[in-house]
Amino acid sequence: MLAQQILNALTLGAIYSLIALGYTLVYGILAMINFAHSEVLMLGAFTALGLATFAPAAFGSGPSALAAMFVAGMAAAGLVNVVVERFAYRPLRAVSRLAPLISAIGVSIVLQNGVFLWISTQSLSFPRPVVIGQISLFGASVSSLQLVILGAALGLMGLLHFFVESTKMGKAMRACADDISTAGLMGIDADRVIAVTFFVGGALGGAAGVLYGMNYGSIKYNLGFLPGAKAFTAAVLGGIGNIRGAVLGGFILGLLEVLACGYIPDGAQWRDVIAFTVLIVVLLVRPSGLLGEKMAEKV
Amino acid sequence: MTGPGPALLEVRDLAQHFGGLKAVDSVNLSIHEGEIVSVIGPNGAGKTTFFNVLTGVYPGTRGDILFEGRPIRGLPSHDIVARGVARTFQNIRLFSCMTALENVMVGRHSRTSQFLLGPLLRTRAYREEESAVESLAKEFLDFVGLRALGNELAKNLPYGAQRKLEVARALASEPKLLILDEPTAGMNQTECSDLVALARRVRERGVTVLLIEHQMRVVMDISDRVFVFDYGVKIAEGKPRQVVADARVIEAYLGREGA
Repeated sequence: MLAQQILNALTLGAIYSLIALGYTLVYGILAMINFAHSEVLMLGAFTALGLATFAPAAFGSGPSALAAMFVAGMAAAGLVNVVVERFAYRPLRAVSRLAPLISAIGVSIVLQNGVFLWISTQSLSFPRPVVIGQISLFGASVSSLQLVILGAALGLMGLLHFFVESTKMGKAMRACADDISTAGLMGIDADRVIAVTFFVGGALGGAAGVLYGMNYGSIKYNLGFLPGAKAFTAAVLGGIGNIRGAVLGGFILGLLEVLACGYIPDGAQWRDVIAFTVLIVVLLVRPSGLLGEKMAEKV
Repeated sequence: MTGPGPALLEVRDLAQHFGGLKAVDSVNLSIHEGEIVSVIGPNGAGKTTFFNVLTGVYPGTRGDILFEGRPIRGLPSHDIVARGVARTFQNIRLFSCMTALENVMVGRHSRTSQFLLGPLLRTRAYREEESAVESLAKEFLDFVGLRALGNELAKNLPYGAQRKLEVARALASEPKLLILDEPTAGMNQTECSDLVALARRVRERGVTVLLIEHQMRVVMDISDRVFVFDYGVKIAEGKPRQVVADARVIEAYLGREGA
């Protein structure tokens, strides 16, 4: 029973973590919450669905279809995020801290309503190119879908880790997160680094959108809202701006929700209440999140 | 007025105003290849502001900055670095959560080409470049005497080492002009003479050095020429001995009665 719960929690947590990374990467560099991130992941899911619907020949079936959905969803979400940054956030960056935030909320509403008005107001069924079978593991029943979700999420996190720690662009991102104006004075084109950051964060969100669609079997124009809000919570729980924190926060939130469902009577209805109550308590004790460092006072 | 080589940096009628405050006003000067030049002046004389305009932090209000004959005023900082101007800071501004080696590798950013596809596809060109950057960064650490500390986080280094690391990071961009903003601030006598020796070795590499310095002993020791700033205006320039004897300079530092 517990093994089953933990497995379910890992699956849910993996999706939250992927989304949370998008919030935390952007926050790490710009100290800005990208409120349009939930719509970016929704667009990733819709792009993958569009590919499956309108280009079934190119789409194929089985693992190649799965790969095509990921590539399309991630590329589209990454590009949307880059375009949004370029036209809705960058011009406001120097103005005030609040202006890009308001702009982000506006972008979120525009994107969501765009899909609502032009694509569909209803839930659309989302393809699952993997055969769903059950495997027994440590007394828990694992579906092949859960394995795909976990595998894809962990694989992407591994890639991100490599990218940030070991590549030139990753170092430039960390340098910008540390001190963006000094980074410029050391020869780094901060605008370019910010664009790459939005692409990477958006692509991770797009992957999460595809995983979300496969997990629930259907998508809708407003699918991003709740997971987006929860992933944002996860990012804050882990310490916003901290990459490991986002992953940790995502998994903790997944665990809290699943355990609430499994062990508390009527837990399913209470799971969000419980998860967010825990969040409030954690933040009261550690305002900068679990792995967040205390903000140093800048002179 | 003339130095040993052709003008590397030429500043004409440069001004940076903040509202009514003329932080830098009508500055004309030129720096020649291979020189070590100091900028001195009382606190608030506009020295750091002048450096900030040179490196693109502030756009400048008026005037021209020519580097190797080409205008650079108002360019973004990273473009100015790419053209060969690097700097350090009065208050140390290292990337504190990165290692010493990574700090120097970041300094190399503008001199490498691989961007996104290379690292993602792990192309051979990318891997070769990455390892070349690392070995070069180690050479720069070696040059400033920090090789053994490469894997330490920058924030854990002792103060004097942090100052040297800033120099290594700036050198990694292979500048033609290195700008040092109070490199000996807060240093003891041994650390000071270390830094003076380092600046000389930087010059031996063919890098021109421009520094703000408060310790007159260092200024007299190291400078080929000295510019004196007061209230945003250059009030004197010349060889160190001439400048300290200049009546306007003494007045700026000590007031009229002192003269």
